[in-house]
Amino acid sequence: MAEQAIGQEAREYELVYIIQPEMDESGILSLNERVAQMIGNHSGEVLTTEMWGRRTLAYPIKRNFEGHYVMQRFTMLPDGTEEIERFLRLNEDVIRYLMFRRSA
Amino acid sequence: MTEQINPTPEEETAAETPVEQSAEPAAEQPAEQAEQQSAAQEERAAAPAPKPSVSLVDRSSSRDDYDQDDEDEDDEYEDDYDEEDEDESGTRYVSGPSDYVQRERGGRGRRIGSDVRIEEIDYKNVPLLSRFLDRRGRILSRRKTKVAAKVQRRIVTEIKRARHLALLPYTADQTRIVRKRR
Repeated sequence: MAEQAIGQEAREYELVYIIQPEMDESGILSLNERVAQMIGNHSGEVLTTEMWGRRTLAYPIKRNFEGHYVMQRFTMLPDGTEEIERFLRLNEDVIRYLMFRRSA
Repeated sequence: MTEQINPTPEEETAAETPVEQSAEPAAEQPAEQAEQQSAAQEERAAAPAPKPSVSLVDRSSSRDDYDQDDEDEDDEYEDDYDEEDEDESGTRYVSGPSDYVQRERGGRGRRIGSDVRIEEIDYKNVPLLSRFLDRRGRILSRRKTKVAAKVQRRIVTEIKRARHLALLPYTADQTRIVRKRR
């Protein structure tokens, strides 16, 4: 019962993902677009999208020493996280991601 | 007897020492002590106390005495740590007095995180978070940071987020690898 009630409420999330360094700008943008679409599918809304650009990693990830950072803040129903996480996990261009809840 | 055998050096020292003891300490030392005490009290918050004054202040007042000792310890241990870090670039890991290593100078209570507001603790705020890491990239314990428990918890989670996103290293030698490659 409690789960149902929580499931109906949109929450605010923050998502950061690191794309492998060889990716070009258009590839990054199309990836952002796909994420935004998935957010939209779960009656969410992207609040801000920040591109931090190509940064040096503090340690190598999958033999990459750099990566393109993208940060997004959005609202979404909680059941959407699963789909987004699966997408980011299976996408080979995404070398690392972090999604967490911003709202209390 | 000794005066007759070796007259000149004995006479000189004998002549000088009484004059110094009677005149100088009586006139100059009290003034110096007073200055140094007040200076030490002012500097307790920010900088390490000037070395020459320490011994005098120690004897004169017991409360300052405690703080000064504290600072002396810090200095010594930091020196130790520098040496240790140089060794580390080889293969040897020297287990030093790491408990005292990164303590900030200054009085009791006010340390590394005294000016941190909880809202600005964020995984994106890398310069702030890296103040809470030691040189090996380890998170400083609350005993060393002296921040409130709430703040420390926040710092720890945000550092861990930053580590996951490769904004901060898990260990310092990871960063060395990346630097070498560039």
